[in-house]
Amino acid sequence: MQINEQFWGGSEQSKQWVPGVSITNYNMLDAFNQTEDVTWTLPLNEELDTSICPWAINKDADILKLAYPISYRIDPDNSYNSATPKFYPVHDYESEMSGIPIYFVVPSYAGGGANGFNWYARNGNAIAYIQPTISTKYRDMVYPVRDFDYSKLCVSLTIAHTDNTTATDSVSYTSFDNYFAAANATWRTTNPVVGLCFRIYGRGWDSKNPDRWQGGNPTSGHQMLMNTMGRKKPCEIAPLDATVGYNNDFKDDFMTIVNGGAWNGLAIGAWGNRYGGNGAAYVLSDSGWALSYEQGAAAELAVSADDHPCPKVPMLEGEENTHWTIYSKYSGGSKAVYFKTILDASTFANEDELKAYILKQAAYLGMWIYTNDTPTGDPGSDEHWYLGEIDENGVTTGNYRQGAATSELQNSEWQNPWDSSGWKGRDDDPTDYDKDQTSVITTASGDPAYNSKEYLMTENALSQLIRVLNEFKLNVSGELSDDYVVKAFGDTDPVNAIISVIKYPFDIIHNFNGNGTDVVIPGTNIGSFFSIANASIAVSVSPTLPVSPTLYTIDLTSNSEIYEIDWTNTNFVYGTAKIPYYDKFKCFLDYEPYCTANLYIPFCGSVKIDPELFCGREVGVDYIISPVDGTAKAFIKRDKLIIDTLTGNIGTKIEINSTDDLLKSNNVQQLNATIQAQKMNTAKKWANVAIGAVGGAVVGGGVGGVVGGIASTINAAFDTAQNNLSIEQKQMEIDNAETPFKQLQSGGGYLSQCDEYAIRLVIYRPETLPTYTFDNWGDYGKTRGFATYETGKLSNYSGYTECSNVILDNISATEQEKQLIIQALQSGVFV
Amino acid sequence: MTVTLYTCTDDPRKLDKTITAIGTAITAEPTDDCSVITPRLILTYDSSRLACNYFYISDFGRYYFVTGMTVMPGGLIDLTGKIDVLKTYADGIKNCTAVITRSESIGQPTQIIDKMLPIDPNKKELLTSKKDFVTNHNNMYLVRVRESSVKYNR
Repeated sequence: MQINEQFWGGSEQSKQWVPGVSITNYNMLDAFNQTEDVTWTLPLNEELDTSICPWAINKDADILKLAYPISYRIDPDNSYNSATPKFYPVHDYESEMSGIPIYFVVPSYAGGGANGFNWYARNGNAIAYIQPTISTKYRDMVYPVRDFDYSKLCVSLTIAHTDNTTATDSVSYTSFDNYFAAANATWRTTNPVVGLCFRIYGRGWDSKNPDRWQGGNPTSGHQMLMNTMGRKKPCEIAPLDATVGYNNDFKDDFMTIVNGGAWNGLAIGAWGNRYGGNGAAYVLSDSGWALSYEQGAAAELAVSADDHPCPKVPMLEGEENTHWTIYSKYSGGSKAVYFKTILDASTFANEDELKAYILKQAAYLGMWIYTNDTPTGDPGSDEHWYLGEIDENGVTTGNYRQGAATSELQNSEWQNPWDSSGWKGRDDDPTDYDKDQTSVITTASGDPAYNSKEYLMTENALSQLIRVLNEFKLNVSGELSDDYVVKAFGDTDPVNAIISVIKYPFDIIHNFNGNGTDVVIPGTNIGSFFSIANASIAVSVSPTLPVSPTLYTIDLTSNSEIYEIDWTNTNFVYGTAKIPYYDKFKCFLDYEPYCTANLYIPFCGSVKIDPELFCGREVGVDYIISPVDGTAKAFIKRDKLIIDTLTGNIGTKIEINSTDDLLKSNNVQQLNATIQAQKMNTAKKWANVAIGAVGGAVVGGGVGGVVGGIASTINAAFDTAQNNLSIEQKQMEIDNAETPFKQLQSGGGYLSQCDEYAIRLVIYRPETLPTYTFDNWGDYGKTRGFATYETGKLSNYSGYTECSNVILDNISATEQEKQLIIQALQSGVFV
Repeated sequence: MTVTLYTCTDDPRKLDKTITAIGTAITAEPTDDCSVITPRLILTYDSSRLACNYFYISDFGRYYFVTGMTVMPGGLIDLTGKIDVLKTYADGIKNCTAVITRSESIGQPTQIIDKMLPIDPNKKELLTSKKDFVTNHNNMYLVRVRESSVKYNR
């Protein structure tokens, strides 16, 4: 499977991905139109539950797209493995920025060459490729993050402080601890305006622009260290080092899971000598790199050019102590997320109160927080580490643990990045895709028919089989009625040993698998015709005939394979294909009646599927073929749950007719070599006739190909003899044609052999006027608002707002005025 | 009656309007019947006051939109207004509990059907995604044969 084969098309009608076509210039961003900055707010001092908290447990909040931005699910168990790494990072240092990265960036893996891209170098590195940027160079495909557990995100708590309530510059930055250090004991009163922001733990920062990493040579410092601990599959092999294929042309950092001893927090050595904390993930450069960061002297907030991604935030504008502001910043194709809030430190009675308040607000976000300058160890390893509590209901509480006590919290578990034990049994367990939603298909095993054997074989092998049986019949014609022959073949005609033939339009042994790996049915490649029906009896029943065993041997050296089916384990052949279902709008427009979807399943037909069932999920089809009768059953699955089935026909039965003319003729026994040759010529013509007859009935080849193979073989053997015949002789042969060879005929139903070989998901989506995308709704919200239907205080909302059922308590307005207020609120106001 | 005249460029539907005072508070005379909802006042003429489109009557404690302004003989201005309940009671309104039917701050459409969202009646996007499950298209045959009762001895 090529990853691009599952790629979603763009916004143009009927646009679709064509396998094999380069995706180098395809810009997935077109589909997302992420060309605007977006800002959200989160209240302070409030528990964040599964509907809100984007870090820990977000499921369906409006900021969901930050945590799980798009629907493509990165299935850690299936999509990533060391053998077929499909995801690896792209790093464009010119556009990188800090914040919380929200995409996996998946470039084309044409690999190598001028782009310095070598996907071999990524081999073995699992899901853990995270980049904060969408490279202009490699943004072929942007795989959004889904089911990525941000709760394990480690960030450093940084304080911007100033005495200027409206400052957008002249702001100093320091760590949380340093702000409260004894030497700075007066800062609470002298620099009372406090901005809180996070930076990715361990990553360097630009002293002038704390929200932006310094660009430049990736080996010169300012490297990204995205440290997460959650839900990433560890490397299945040891990290690569420079001696086993790491390509120094590739300048990316990438995240890998490093198994090893405790990380000393200070340095990560060269490849092959790295430290990792029990499966913690680090982004590593291609050279040795020391964890460090630059603390800015006289740091300033957002003094860069206008297009700088760093948000410019006046320190105080009457909004202090009220909310976190979340900025989703877009700049030059890059996008990242920032959290900030502003506090007035002077309103707190003392430093302890302020300190506790800040930690509490951070704890509400449920992340790992580091409060000192330079982390010295794994999360929880020293007293500068804090972890916000998430209770059993998935709600952050504002409580936190510090240092070693963080281990008391369920969400501190990270020894095994994929250890979901802390989530087991919870409805919001992001790793449990099964949870009563796994279907098990029961099948039968054992030989479906007694006194027979079944073989799957290629077309060439079948033609050789027919040839051999017929040749045997001709050459041992004197023995055809011999008891040995009957015992051997169950019939006086060896060809009648073939009970039935079912033709499949594709190789059901190999490659019947949407994941690109071979599925080999239980069986044995017997490698020789002599095992078939013990047909080597041909040798023993005619000891007086000059028969060479090789004459009756099928040559398996050229595109001929025969598999004897072993029914011990199963009667069926399996195949699986999966397609991610992409919910474009992330809203009601993705569902019926606005959006409809059909799933087309080759050989079985199509079925309408309900988008609601599949949004953000995977559409899976499990095929089961019964090889002995050609029937197929397709199980349509949502993730692992079967929701529908279709049945169809993949194999078509081919009938074999026998005229047994050789036995009917007494003269057969007197046939001399010349007559035999004539018979063979006749047979050849019959074979050709068969080609014509069948060829007209079968679309795309089919049985004609089989007979063609037979005819071709005969041609090779008897062309000389045919050429020696006179025209009269040839005419006589046609007029008196006998059919010593079996004739394959159409058994009907050949149209079932014509189908696309791909499972196809077809989705009809509405288009809006003007064209909106899931994260760019233009001015619609500003002018109309979005359908909300929530109950709450108006103060919890902003911008255009419409209300109903207003409770006008505590307003000393007249009745007439209250009616005016109600009317206004119903009509829409700007809060 | 003490009146402060303002100019206001904000949308009338905004709760927290930004208003700019025109001079200081002045004294105005109410007409005989001066409604609190739609007051009518007589001001002394001053050309700067003609820019006023918003005013506040401190005696009433209410803000008003200017609905009419007539310059009268004798250096007077006949000013009529209509109460702006939104700004007057902004704080109270913001603390009200209500069913928020539509909100900009939600940020994007939700799962709730929004019939106001304009759907292009003539256009529908077709997206397809496919997954090949067969890559080897060579025909294959299942051949069932009789099982022989004679064994081959090499």
